[in-house]
Formats: sequence, structure tokens, C-alpha cells
Amino acid sequence: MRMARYIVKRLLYALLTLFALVLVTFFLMHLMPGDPFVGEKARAPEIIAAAHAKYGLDKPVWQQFLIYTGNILRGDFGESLYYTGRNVMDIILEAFPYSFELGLRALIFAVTGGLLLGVFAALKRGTKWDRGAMALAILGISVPSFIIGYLLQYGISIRLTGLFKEWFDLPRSWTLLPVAGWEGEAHKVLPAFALGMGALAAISRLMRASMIEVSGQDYIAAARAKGLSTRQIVLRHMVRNALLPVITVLGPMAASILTGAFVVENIFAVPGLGKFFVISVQNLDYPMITGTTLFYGAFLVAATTLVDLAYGLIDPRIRLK
Amino acid sequence: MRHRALLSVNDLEVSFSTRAGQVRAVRGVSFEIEAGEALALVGESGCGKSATARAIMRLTPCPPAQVRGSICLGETDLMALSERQMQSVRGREMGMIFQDPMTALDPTMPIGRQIAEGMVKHLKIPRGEAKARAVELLRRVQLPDPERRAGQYPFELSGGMCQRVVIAMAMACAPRLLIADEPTTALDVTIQAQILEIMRAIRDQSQTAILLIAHDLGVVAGLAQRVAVMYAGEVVESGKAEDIFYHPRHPYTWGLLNCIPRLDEEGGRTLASIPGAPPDLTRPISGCAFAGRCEYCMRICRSFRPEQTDLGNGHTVRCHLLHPDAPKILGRGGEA
Amino acid sequence: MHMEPGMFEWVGPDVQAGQPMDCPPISEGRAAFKRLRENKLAMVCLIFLALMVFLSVVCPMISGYSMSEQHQDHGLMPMGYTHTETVDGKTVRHTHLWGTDKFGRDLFTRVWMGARISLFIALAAAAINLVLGALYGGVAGYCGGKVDQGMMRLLEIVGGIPYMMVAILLLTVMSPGIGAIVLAYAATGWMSMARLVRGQVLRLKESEYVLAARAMGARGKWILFRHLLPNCLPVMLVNMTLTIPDAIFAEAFLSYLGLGVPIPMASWGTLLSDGAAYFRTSPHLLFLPALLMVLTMLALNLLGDALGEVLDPRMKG
Repeated sequence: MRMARYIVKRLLYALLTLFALVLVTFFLMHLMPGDPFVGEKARAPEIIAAAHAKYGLDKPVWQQFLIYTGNILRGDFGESLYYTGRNVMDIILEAFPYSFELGLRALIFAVTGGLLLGVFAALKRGTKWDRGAMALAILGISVPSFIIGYLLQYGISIRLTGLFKEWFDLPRSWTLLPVAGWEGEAHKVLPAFALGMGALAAISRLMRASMIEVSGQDYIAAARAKGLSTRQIVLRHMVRNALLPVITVLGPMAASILTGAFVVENIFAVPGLGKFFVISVQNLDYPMITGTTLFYGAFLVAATTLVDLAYGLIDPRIRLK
Repeated sequence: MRHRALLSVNDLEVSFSTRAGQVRAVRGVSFEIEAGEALALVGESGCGKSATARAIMRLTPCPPAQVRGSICLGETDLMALSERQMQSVRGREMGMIFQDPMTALDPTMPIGRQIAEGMVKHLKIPRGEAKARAVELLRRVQLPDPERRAGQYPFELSGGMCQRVVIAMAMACAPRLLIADEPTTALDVTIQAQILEIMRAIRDQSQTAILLIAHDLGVVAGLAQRVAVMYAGEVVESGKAEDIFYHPRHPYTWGLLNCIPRLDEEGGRTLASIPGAPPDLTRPISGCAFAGRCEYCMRICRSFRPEQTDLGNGHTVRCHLLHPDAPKILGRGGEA
Repeated sequence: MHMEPGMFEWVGPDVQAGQPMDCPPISEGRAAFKRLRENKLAMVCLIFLALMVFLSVVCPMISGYSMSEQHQDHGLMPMGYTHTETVDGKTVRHTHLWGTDKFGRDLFTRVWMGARISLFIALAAAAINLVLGALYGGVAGYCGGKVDQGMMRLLEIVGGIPYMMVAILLLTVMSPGIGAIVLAYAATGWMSMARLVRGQVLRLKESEYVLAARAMGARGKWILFRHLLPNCLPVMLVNMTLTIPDAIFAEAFLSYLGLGVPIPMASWGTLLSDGAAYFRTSPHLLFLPALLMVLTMLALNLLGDALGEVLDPRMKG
């Protein structure tokens, strides 16, 4: 029963967050210069009139908001101003799977790498291994993903590939890892790495701190007093408890990875939503900008809620209390 | 062949490296416990009793700590064991009860599993059987409704219930020695008595030796046959419980005994306490460690460490007052 | 044993020797500062950051170029590029220490000017975060009860919105400029500060000196501003040290999307995004500002870690 209440509460929060997001985008649209629903390009008066009718621009604000919300609920984000004649939702649905795959790869890389590095550093606490791992981690959170992206492109795909070609007399088209594109597995390594590195570093720092906190707890001493082996203590008692605080940051982390993908996709020419979004921002393609914002917002709120629900399942204190 | 006690600790030294310097938490402690006997280590917080208990379990992390001396469990020299060998002794040969039951249990694991864990490891029995035995153990420590409780998490239990679980966990493999580090400090007075009663039953029924750590003598009275009083990392007085309670010879023990609130005293007497605080253990101590707070401090106490005096019957005291040249104090101690 | 006469004379307890520590009491703040000074890495970071601020002020002044001065004839020149020019019959040597960008603008000047603008944006955003967060968190924590619950629920709801998206939306609406970026970041970044301050205030509210102040008839506002918030300063300081790199990050990200400071101004973000286009042929256009930016972030992160450790010794890893 407690779990049911917890789930209802989380879902309610998610709905309210989405509502707040719709409200924010609506009012920002109203603040926008010019006529955001139509664009500043000269258009035939009948198109403008049709758009005004569609969005109810002659009606009072609250009715406009209802119409706006209704359109969003139906998944109608309007027509792109830049890619004239194309529906925003269609563009999003076409491009998002690429972004999703990239983001998922980066997230998986970040979570597995971060947890392993964090546990490793905590177990080797105070040694040169720990210091090395944490130096790496603090470097990881200090370098933005796009700088990592360019460094990888320059270092691996250009310089190192060049050296290899020189040494081994390889064909012209050979590359260690391709500079850009999204055709095969090899193309997906560098972007996922660049995008996930920051999150990996953050997770490893958090996991290490959490492990150290847990290792000082009495129940770890009690587990040792039971005669369990170090392996059993680490796996059954330490990692399990140390994971809980780390899980809570996965939602925000997924958000930062997905938004970070806008830039990384551009660097590596991934045909995801990032390219469309950057172009729409540069051309003030408002329906596209708000559409993407709403879509990502909804997606991330759903992801965060799922993480919260998973947390509730894992932590008995939430499940049963 | 010489008789070996179940546990004999000889000249145990524990020191920690901290930012403030080397802390000599335990300075040459020796004692023995026989099977079926309960020994209480008593003293103020910070006197080294918990450090002693953890050193015996070899739970002290080294480094930063250093442990010297000898600890023998029966014929086995624990100090000579490797960490892996030690793992098969912990939980199997000796169990430990912790001070705060709420933090001594893993919050994310059902208590039944936590008890069963050690049995699966040491007794090599299947998990199902271990679970059944865990329920049996919970019944033995008088946890109501043990079948249902075994599947519950620590946060669903009260402090007293948790302590019963911790005892069951320590008792799981029927160890020869039970180390109880202030098992009642975090509990209500009524629960305290019940917990002590359970421990007494364990001692009598299965001839388990108990090392009881406590900071007041009141808790000790009903359980321990022998008492060792610790101050600033050393044992200042030890002996049979009756001797310590009725014929104490060390001024620090007098102080501790005055600290027990008594109902039979005439009204108006304030609860006594020992003024001052224990010495800084990062610095060398000249003379008797208690000298600074001792009402009966003599000039000699400041410069010479008192030798251990054996009063017979296992009663030993480390105090210059027992020197033949020292003035006699009337109304205190054995002869008075 | 060597026996002197009178060894067994009573001398009584020595109250002085009974004291656990005979070192003078030091205030918490001063002790923390002392620990910080002993932390070599933190001091190196602090000195480095001071140097960054100093150079970002001084370098553009002494470079001899302005950040917008264009020379179309020598764009994209390498580091150390020197050319001569004849003005009124005299030959003048021009040296571009770090080369030039595609418009022939001096990169050295632009990078340090960019440092100035980026650091300003980050500091301003962090300061606004601090004020907003302290007010919101302080009021929520101080009032407690229903008010606190409501304010925290609101925070939870608003906090669920991916902030970078909102910042982008805000920037597309506002006219571009330093102020817009500061505002866009500050509008979304104050929430973690608010949570932190609220937690601290809730804890401090029950402490004895606050009860004492209240007993003496101090009013709520006075207690909040005179007693509670100043005592939250340590945690706020740590949080702020860690928001600055966040803000630098955000500025660079937004600039990369084309929402940065307008031309001809430079910030690290715009320099990175301009340099990225030429990174295969002139990598220094990208990597020089990137290096400065990364070193600054590294120093800030290390300093934040050290501050956290110094102010809360329990956190020592």
C-alpha cells in the first residue's frame, strides 16, 4: 500500500512538472518577438489568417492556452518554419531514435564505467590507484563533452590514424576510428565516449564517496565480524547500499546527457535531433524549438519518474514505509 | 601441560595514527576468560575498551592502526593468522554484538538472511536450512513471531528487537566466545534487563565465554563473574565481581562505583562523578595515568607508574596506595 | 624503585592536568582557514584562479590589439606569427603571440577577453544563484511547516524540467548579450542552492544561540539574516565554487548552439565554437581557449573539493 501511494505521488509530480513545462513554453511563446506561430518571413495573408485561427490568437489568453495544451496533447507541435511544410513532430520522430541510441550508449558507458571506477577507487582508498582514478575523474568533470569530442577526433581519427597509416602502409581510406558519421559500430564509439565521459566521472566520484561512507558503517563491521569474505562484504553489503544515493542522480544525469548530445551530434555528424535543433535555434524556428523542448521535457520527466520508481523498488525503506 | 584459558590476551597494545599524532589507545592490557565465564571490561568512554574488543576480533584496520601483543583463542594465536584464516574464525569461533543495533544491521537486507549468511559460510549448510535455523535463533532470543519477522527489514523493528537480532546473528554458529560491545547502551532500561537476561541464558546453556564491554558497573553486576576496570588504555584493577564491587582498592574504581545511582542511599546526596577528563593519549604519560584526577594522589604517583599488586584470589590492582609505605585510608577498600 | 623521602605525601588531584587538551581554543572558521592553507593543492588552485582573473584583466590591455580589430590579409595565422607593415615610411613589426583567427583578429587578445567575459558571466550567475537560493531556501527552512512543504513541492515540480532546455528557450526570446546568458543560467541554477540552504537552516534553527536570540525578542527577519544565513555561508561557499564551473560549462554550451554573446565580443564558448570550424587545419584556435577553460574548471573543482573537506572534516575521503 505504501508503495502504491509512493507511485501515485511520483506520477502526480511528473504530471505537475509537465504542466509547468507547458505553461513556461506557452508564456515564452507569447513573449517572443514577432509572430512566433507564423514566423517573421513574409507570408501570404491567408496563411497567417489560417494560423491565427488554428492557434486561436484572437481569443483570450486562457483559451489560447487551452488550445495550445490541446494541440500538444495530440502531439501537434505545428509546422516547422525553417523546414517549410514539415510537421515538427514528424521531424522529431524521425531524428530522435538516433539521439536516443547515442544517449543510451553514452549512459550505459557512463554508468558501468563510473560504478566500476568508483568501487575500485573506494576499495583502493588512499593508494596511488585511488588517487589516479580520482585525478582522472576530476579531469573528466572539468572537460566539456565537445572538447573531449574534438580531442578524440583530432587525436585518434586524424593524428593516430595518420601515424598508423605511415607505419604500416595502410590504404588511404583506412581509419582507426571514423571521424564522423553513423553507419556502423565503429562510428558510434567516439561520440558515445565523448558524451558519456563527464557523467562517468561524476558517477565514479559519487560512487566512491558513497562506498566510503558505507564502509564506515557498523553493519559493515558486523558483516566482517560474521566472518564473511571481503568479496561477499563488498558485493552483498557495500555496493548494494552505496548504489542507492547514486541511483537518484541518474535522472538528472540522463537529462544532461541527452541535452549534451545536441553538441556532440554536430561534432560527429550524427543524424539525430541535435542537428535539427541547432539549426532551428540559429534560425529562430520557434515551433521546432518549443516542440523539441516539450518532447525532451516529457521524455526526461518520464525517465526521471521511472528512476524514482525503480529506486522505490530497490530501497525497502521506501517500498514498505 | 599448562591449562590454557579460552581467550588469553597478553600485553595488548593498540595505537592509531591520527592528524594529532600517535594515539596509544590500549597500553599493555592482559586478561584471560574461561569457557562459560563472563568478563566485563569497564571504563569511561575513550579508555580503550572498544579498541580492545575490536583488536581481539582483528577488526581494527591496520594501517592506520597498529596492534601488538598476543591474543590466543584456545591454542590458536590469532595474531599469527592470515586475514583469510581469520575470516573462518570470525563468526565461527567468536561472535560480536555491537553497541547500536539500529546501525549494526544492513538496512537493505531482510534480517533472516543476515543471520543465515554466517551459517551458510561457516557451517556449509544450504540456504533454506540456514533460514530455518535463523528463525529458531530468533525464537531463542525471544523475538515475538519469528517466522514473520525473519523476512522483515531492520527499519521495521524497534531498537530492542534489533538488538535481539544482532545477538542471534552473533550466536548463529554457536561461537565459543561472544564479544559484546556495550550491548545495552542504546536501549531503554527495561529492554536492557531483558537483553542481559538473554545473554546470561546463552552463557549458562552453551558454556559460551562472554567479553562484556560496558561503561558503567551497574550493567555488569548481573552478568559478569569477573571485572576488569580500564583507565587510559590500561587495566587498573581486576578481580572477581564481588571483590570489585565490595572490596575495590583503586581510587578510580571507587569513583566508578560512586557513579552508580543507588536507591538505598539517604536523600540529599548528589550523584557523584569523577571531575576532569582522561589524559591526552597522544603524549607519553609519566607516573600513574589517573594521578591528575585522583583525590588521593601522592607525590610518587606523578613520577612512577604503579606496579601491579596481586592481592590473591585473582584480584590485582595498579596503585601506589597499596605500597606498604603509603598512608592507609580508613573506611575504604578491603581491610577497612 | 628509587625512593625519596616524602614520596608518599598527599598532593591531591591536579585539575589542570585533568584537562583533555591544553591548546588554546580556535574558532571554527579560523581552524578551517588554517587547514585550507595547509592544503597545498588548494592553495595552488587559488593562486592559479587569482592569476587567471588578473591576466584576463591585464592581457587585453597590454596586447596592443583590440578584440575586434580585423586584418583580412592575414587570417588563420599560426602561433608566433609576425608581419611587418610600413606606416609613414617606418616599418612596424606586429607579432601575434597566439596567431590570428579567420578574420585576422589577434587570438591572444580574444582569448583573454573571452576569459574576462566568461569569468564575469560565471561569477555573476553564481552570485545570483547564491542570493536567490539563499532567500528561497532560507525562507522555506525558517518558516518550516506548511510553507516549507509547499515551497519544496514547488521546487520539486519546477526542478523536474530539464533546465538547459528552458535556458535555450529563454535565450531565443531575449535579445542576446551577457545579461541574457547570466539570467538564463541563473533562472534555472538556483535550485540546488535553495535545497542546501533550507537543509542547513532547518538544522541551525533549533540550535541554542537562535533560541537565545529569540528569547531576547529578536524578530524573524533579524534571526534569518543575522544568525541563520551567515552560518550557512560555509556550505554556500562550497556550493558556489562548484556552480561556477557549471556556469562556465553552460555558457560554452549555449555559445556552441549560437546563443552566446553577440559578435564581435568573445567568450570562451564563442571562441571554441568558432575555432571548431578550423580545428583540422589550425587546431590552436580551438585548443588554446579549451586549455585555459579546462584548467580553470579543474582549479575550481579541486578548490571546491578542498573547501568541502576543510569545512566538513567528516567528508575527508
